[in-house]
Amino acid sequence: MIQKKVCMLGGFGVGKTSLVERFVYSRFTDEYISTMGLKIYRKRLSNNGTDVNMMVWDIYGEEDKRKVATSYMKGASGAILVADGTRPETLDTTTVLLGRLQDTLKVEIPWVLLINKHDLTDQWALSEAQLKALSVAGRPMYTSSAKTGKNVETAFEQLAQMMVRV
Amino acid sequence: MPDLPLSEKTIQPENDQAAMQALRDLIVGPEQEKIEVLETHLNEISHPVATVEDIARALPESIRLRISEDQSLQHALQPVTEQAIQESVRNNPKPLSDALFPIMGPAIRKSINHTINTMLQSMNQAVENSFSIQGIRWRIQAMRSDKTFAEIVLLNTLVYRVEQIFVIHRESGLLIQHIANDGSIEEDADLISSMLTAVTDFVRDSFAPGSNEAINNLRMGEMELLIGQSPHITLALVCRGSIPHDLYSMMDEHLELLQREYARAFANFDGDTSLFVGIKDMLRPLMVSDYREREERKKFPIHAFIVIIPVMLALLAWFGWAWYQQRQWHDFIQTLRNTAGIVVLHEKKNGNHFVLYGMLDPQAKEPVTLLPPNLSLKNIAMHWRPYYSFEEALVFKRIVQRLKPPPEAVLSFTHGMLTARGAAPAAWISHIKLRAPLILGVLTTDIQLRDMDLEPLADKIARLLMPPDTIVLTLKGLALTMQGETTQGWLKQAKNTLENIGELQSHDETTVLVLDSPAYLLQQAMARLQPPTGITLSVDKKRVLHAHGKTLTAWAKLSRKHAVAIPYLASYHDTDLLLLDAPAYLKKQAVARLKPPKSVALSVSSDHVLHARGEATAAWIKKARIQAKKIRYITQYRDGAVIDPFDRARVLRAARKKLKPPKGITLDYRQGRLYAGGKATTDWIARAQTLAPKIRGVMVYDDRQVINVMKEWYALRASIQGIHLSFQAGTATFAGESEQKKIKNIAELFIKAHKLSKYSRLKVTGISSLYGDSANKIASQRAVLTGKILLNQGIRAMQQITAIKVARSGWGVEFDLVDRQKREKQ
Repeated sequence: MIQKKVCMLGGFGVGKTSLVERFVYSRFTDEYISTMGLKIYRKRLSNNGTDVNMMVWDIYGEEDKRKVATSYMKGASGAILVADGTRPETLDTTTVLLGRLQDTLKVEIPWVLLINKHDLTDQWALSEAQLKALSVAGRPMYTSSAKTGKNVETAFEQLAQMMVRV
Repeated sequence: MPDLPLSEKTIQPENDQAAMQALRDLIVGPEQEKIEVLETHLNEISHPVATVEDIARALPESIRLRISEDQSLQHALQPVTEQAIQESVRNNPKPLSDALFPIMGPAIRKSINHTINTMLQSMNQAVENSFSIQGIRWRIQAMRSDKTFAEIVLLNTLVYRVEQIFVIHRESGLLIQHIANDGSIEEDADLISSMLTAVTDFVRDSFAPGSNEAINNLRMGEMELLIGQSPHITLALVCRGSIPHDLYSMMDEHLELLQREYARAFANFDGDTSLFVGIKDMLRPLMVSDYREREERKKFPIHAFIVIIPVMLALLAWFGWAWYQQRQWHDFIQTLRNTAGIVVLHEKKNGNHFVLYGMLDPQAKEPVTLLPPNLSLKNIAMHWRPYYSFEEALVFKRIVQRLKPPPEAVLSFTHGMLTARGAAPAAWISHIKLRAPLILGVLTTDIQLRDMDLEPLADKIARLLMPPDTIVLTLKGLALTMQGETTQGWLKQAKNTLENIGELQSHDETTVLVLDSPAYLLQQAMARLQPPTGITLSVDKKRVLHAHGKTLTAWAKLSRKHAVAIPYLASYHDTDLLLLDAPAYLKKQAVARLKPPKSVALSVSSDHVLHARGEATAAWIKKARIQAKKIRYITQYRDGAVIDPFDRARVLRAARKKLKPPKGITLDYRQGRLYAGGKATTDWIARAQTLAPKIRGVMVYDDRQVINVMKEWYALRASIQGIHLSFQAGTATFAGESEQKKIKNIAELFIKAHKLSKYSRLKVTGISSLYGDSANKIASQRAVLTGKILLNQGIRAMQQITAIKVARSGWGVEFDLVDRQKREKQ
């Protein structure tokens, strides 16, 4: 069995914890509970006959007053960057966090970008063109919803594949 | 060429060169060697590159050689090495610290161990040879719990056990290996290791950001987590109990061992833990536990105990006595504080002596008398300053001391007020009145003392007047004042009596309340009866209370009840009251408003319900209902007994009730006439004609439109009468089969008739034309037979037997239809 550390990175309230809870326990709640510090989840995946024990570090959301500490990023083999489709500015936060992650690790590691809360169609603030522009750069990018489960499994499984391949 | 000697002959041409060489060697050999050496040197000088390789080969040997000779090489290299190391550390300290880690650990530990061991040894000695409080506590615990001392020691001995070991990849927090002492697999070990890493990072980030320090110990209850760090891994030991110091060094040793063995694998760790299976066996020795080692250390020094006990007892006694003295002093101070007239300002203890400062009222108890028996006055210094206390008891003492009251006077003192009752000589009374307000603490005075000098006169007056309890007599000098309440009679008598007492100068009874005076009685009546507006009360000289005006029954009743309770009131006269809600008054009102016709009678019940009965027009009934509501105090108006005799609905309702018209009959009523129409039996028609005129409101009964259904009935009767049954002569046997059919026909006709009138009856008459006795018999048999057959058809028939010779022979039974009711009437 191979163990991999995966970091959930993104601004506050983008739905990191909801995505992990949906992925690990297949559950969702509308309640918003801000993550203080971090919580660690475990999910076992099988990828082409290789068992991967994914240790998902759900780290508190990046805020101006409280940056995500680099110490939590150390040793990560993969990252899920999460942005909120109803708040386009959270995309910038993911860019900042990705930069910090790569500076800390000194190597490039696989990552997947999720633009979350796709179920909130009436508040969705990104146009198709903007989404296309984001994915054109060759980024592994999905629109997701922790509420409906859209693309959650897909994203984590793709990350697992990328990590085993490296 | 001349021949050469033999030796020269043997020389072959091919050997010429060798011979030349040999010759050259012989002649210039030494010189040639010198030239070669010179050439070599020359080469060395002219081709330096070649010499670097040579030096590389020669260098280790040279150094070794040189070191064996003297220290100059070390001296030469020292500054260079130092600088190189400094440079290396400056550039990147990690390689050097990684390299040094396996060496430095043991070295430091060795040094610390040595120091601690030396210290422990001396401490152990000190503990065992000296008195241990812990030891005594355990002794006491053993005595109290009925356990042996050894058991208690065992219970309290430092016991520990390593329960789990985690090997964690330091950077990623991933679990490399996990061991539990009971061999179980912790399901969440990977989560625990990740979380532990996160917590360690968090603590470091929070308290020592940027440093390389880490948590090395976590404690929760009796669980303790030891954490060791190497460059690549974290080793965490989960322990229970108090862990010994050497466990730390054991852990560090194993950490170094792992780091040494797996350094490369750790550095390249990519999450694959299968490479580290061997770690389990390496860490097995760390799963230690200890129960006994400490027990042996706790040998208790019995001899020390024996020496210590008496010393302890002596100390205890001394402390006890001191404590007791202190306690007594404290109690004394407390008693003083609670004693009236004593104020403790300050108290302290000077060595064995107690010192006290305070204030003392002259009337207060002597403090020395309050001293507890075991507190010696020798050890006490008391300093008192005089003051006047305002406490009641002391003020009272002061009052008594100053005024010296005679035994007949009773003094009391509360809340700053001096009260004097009883009797005293006139001189003393003026004395107290003058002096009492001047006494400290007396704020007000209430002095009511009888003048002892006037006592005989007062006695005489009281004896002559015999005043009731409600009268208070006060004699001031020779003037009598009368207060309280009494009757006119007594007052009059008293006045007469007083006139005859010569010694008395004056008497005053103006404030006496005369209970049976008309004015007082009226006042009482007003207060008790609370008359409403519209009522006037008055009391005449004969003490009779009169009430005039308009009011309600309720007040009248209540006023009677209250008036009776007024003392000295002779009677109460309320017949002049006009009771607005009395039935009689209300009836008068109702008659005035409703203006009923003569046929209507009104009455008012005691519960103020207005009843109307009799006959009236609908219009009046309606108007009366509106008017009745307007009468005050009428709670309800009931006019169910008033009828309009010509009311169509009512008359029809009554007609239906009385006449019970059958289905085919319709009734109508217009202007005093009751109309009936439809089909009916004779009976009903007759009955209706009798009853209808008796119905109220029916002047004329018109049943011209009623068709008598009995006409049909008569037709049926004719048919039945036309049917005869024939019998064989002289027998009760039918003449033929057709007779049975006839009976059936009879039955059908009868059923129809019965439907028309339920009083219809079928009469069967048996006939015989014979003479003599048998005639009756046969006639009877014929009738009975026919009756039975009819009964089988469900019809009861009356049978009549006739035995006569009739003109027409050939039939034996004839039928008739009768109306029973008619017959009954007839």
